[in-house]
Amino acid sequence: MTVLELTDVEVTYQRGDGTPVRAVAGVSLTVNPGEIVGLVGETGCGKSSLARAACGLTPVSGGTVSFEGRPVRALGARERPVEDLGLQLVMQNPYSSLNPRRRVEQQVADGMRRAAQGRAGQHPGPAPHTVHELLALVGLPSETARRYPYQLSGGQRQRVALARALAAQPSVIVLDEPLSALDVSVQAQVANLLRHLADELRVGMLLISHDLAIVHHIADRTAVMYLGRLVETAPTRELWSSPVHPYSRALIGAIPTTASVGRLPEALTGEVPDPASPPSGCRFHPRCAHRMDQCQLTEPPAFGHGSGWQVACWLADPAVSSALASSEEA
Amino acid sequence: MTALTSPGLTPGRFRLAVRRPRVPRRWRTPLMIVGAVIIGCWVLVALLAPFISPANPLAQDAAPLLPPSAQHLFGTDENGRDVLSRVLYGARVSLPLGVILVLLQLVIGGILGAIAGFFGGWVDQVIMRFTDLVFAFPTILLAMVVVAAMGPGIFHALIAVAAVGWPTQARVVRSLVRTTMQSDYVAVSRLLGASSIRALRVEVVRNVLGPVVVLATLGVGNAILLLSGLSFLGLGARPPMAEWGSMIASGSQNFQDWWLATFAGLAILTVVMGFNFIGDALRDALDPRSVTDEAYGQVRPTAGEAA
Amino acid sequence: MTAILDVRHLGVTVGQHGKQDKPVTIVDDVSFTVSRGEVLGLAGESGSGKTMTALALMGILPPHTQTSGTAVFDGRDDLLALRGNALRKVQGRRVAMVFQDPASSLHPMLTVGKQLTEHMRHHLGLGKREARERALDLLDQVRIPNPRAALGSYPHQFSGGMRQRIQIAIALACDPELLIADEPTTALDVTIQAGILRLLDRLCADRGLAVLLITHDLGILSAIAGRVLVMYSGRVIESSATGELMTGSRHPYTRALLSSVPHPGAAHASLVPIAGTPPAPTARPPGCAFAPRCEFAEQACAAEVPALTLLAEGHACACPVDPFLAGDRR
Repeated sequence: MTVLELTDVEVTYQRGDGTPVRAVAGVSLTVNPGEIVGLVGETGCGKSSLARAACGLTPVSGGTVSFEGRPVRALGARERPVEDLGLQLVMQNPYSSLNPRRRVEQQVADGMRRAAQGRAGQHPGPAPHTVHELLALVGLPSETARRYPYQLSGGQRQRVALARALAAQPSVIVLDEPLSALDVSVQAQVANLLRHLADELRVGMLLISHDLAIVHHIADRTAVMYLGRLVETAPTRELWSSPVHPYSRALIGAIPTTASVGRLPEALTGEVPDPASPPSGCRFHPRCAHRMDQCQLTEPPAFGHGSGWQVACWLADPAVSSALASSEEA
Repeated sequence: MTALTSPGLTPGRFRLAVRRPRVPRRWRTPLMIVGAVIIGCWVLVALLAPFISPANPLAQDAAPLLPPSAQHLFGTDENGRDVLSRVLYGARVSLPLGVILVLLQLVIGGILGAIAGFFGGWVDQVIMRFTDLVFAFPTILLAMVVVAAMGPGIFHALIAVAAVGWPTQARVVRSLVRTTMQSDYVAVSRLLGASSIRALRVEVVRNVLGPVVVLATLGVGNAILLLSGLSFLGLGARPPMAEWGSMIASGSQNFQDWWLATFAGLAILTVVMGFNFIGDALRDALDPRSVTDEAYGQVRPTAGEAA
Repeated sequence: MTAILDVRHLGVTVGQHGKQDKPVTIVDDVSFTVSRGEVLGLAGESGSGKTMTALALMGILPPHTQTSGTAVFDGRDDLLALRGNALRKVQGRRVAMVFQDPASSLHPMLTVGKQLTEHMRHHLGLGKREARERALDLLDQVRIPNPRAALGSYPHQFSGGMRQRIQIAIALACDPELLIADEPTTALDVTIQAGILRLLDRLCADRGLAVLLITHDLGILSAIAGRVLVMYSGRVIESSATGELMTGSRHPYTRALLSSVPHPGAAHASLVPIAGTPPAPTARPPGCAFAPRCEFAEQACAAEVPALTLLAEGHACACPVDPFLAGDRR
């Protein structure tokens, strides 16, 4: 039973000169309780727009976002309905996501205010009730409560942001690049914390990041995004050991690792196209080494490739692969 | 056992029983201290003028146009009034009125700016265009119109200036409210269940207050200058009121008798300087060291722009 | 391979302006050589002193800093002792530097062509047409598409990866012998980063360019560097050939660093972050700076600063305990 379900979500925004840009062009994915789903992509793929729509911050221009089976309405002038409070967001920049003029304890307590009204009792397991318990949950000492954000480091602030989200007893947290602004050694600590929280509290997480290596370490399933669409979704381990979509393969092949010394990472030719005018057919085809004629004509749907594995590529089309196989035999 | 002999105290040394509150260092800057001293002195002068001034500021007792001497430290004016007394009493006019003027502007401008910043959209546009209109209106002209309509007087001048002086405050407040309402922490606050109004009250107001206080403090100096200026032009204080601007006006017709204008001018100078110092020092002290981008720039930035 | 740069006992201290306190040591006793055609990696987290080392070599340290030691360039000039005209002859011309954020190191209001040609004309005294031809050639070498159009464009019209290539082109304009690159790919997407790394590798091979590559990312160094120096709290704590460092490092910090960085090869294991934080330069502990965080620390470690001792051919390590001595693995 999924907690968060995105179905053909589209997000369009207006550029300064009035041109509409479809930053997200039909994304479907699900998040289950206690599961970390990683969403990886590079600049211009639309992942931040997706993050904001997935948590209900901004409206979608197409498709639906469902939380615990109910459709989510984006934030309007009114208060957010109590039923939606279990869907929370942690943002990328720990220096701007906390109010500089309020103490930590006040901001963490924000989460508890309305959550107490409606959600108590719905969450399995003992729910943390005090600010100090929440701070302890994210590994911060009690003294932090009385501090102001400027007295904390980036890693500590991000933990406070997490505690604040947890105060609302969420069943899903959307995390938009939560580790990017942190020092490398701190990233490991916070990443481990996320995994621990997902396991212990059975909170589902949609972890959006450009850092594939971190996602590989803590995500159960990973989705790869390119120019507004998902190109491949698979269990993390399988995706890393044998990616199918040419873009996934390029992405993973481009990561320099300490395991292979002296191997130059693979580079991808060309640049990411302007999302306002995407290529025809498969959005990746201009940069793809394996493109076929039909790639330029029709956008491929998501083909199943195994349990929980989907690839949006004509190469994964069973019809195509059998045609290729038979042509080899011939 | 007296305080002197209680344990823990070095014999022979007095110690304050009360712990002096420690003012954080960033408030104790030279700028703040000098400004506070200047304004503090002038506030005392304004309060104590009736007691410390040597003569009645309106009494035309002495010979006119006497240069500064032992009896009349600042000399006498063209009507035989003691200039020193008039300067001291002038503080009772300029200081309170300057403050009142700024408060009036803040109330009008602040409310309009907050509404514009909070609602955005066409409300924002309408209010801001109206603000632009008022901003373009020449203050002196309006003061003249008001005087022509209601007759001269310092309170009429006050109304005139308040009526056209609020656009700056409106713009600043609108900008502050807008940026804070669009900040990440307000977004999270809304996701956690706060309504827009609550967000305004709990998150935004405290971030707007600091800059507004700085603006107000700097504005007092400006207000005093304006009011004195209008009085100088004959549109504000009427004789025989002891007011610095009108003193400069009468002194400007008679430059040989330099003491007529100079001391009043110095009074305006020091008061305005004092408020400006405090305002600047406040701005430095309230500078949010919280959201410092230096720390952010030091760690790894993201490879992705918001897409 | 001849050494183009020979650094001996480089030290950088920051004077406490006005106060009577001792100056703070930011870089302490760093020695290394860089040869033509070689990429030398300088690894370390933020605060390790690696950037200050680079700034010292380029002669662009912030005010109130003092240097000690020597950095002999091409067997003749000591970079640390150069001033005025002599410094200008070397800076930007024989030794060039590339920074992390191309957005702030390229002038936003000058065209790319102008930035390239001005630089060249100033240092090499070229005529307008000559400089333009050379600029086109440089842009082509760094693989900027359509160089003619690029000359007339402004930096903001390019993507992050392209801007970094432009910065490299400007750095190469006067045919330097040594290129110092400070985190050149940190702000870039991984596929773009791969392209830049390949470019640097090619330039090294084609021009015999010596590269000092400074980064916290051991994966990058693994791919492209021949030798690596690891810095911690201002000192070099280990130096060896890249392969040897990644598989057989002997310093506890290096090993800890390698396990705290996610690498795709590993299973879904938890990342092991290094507990604690590096000491502030003003509060460096006596003896080994890493001892407070080191699980193998002994009494001797806090007594005196461990010297960098040569363990095997080309592999030096500053750890008196040496817990990873082959055959003595704890």
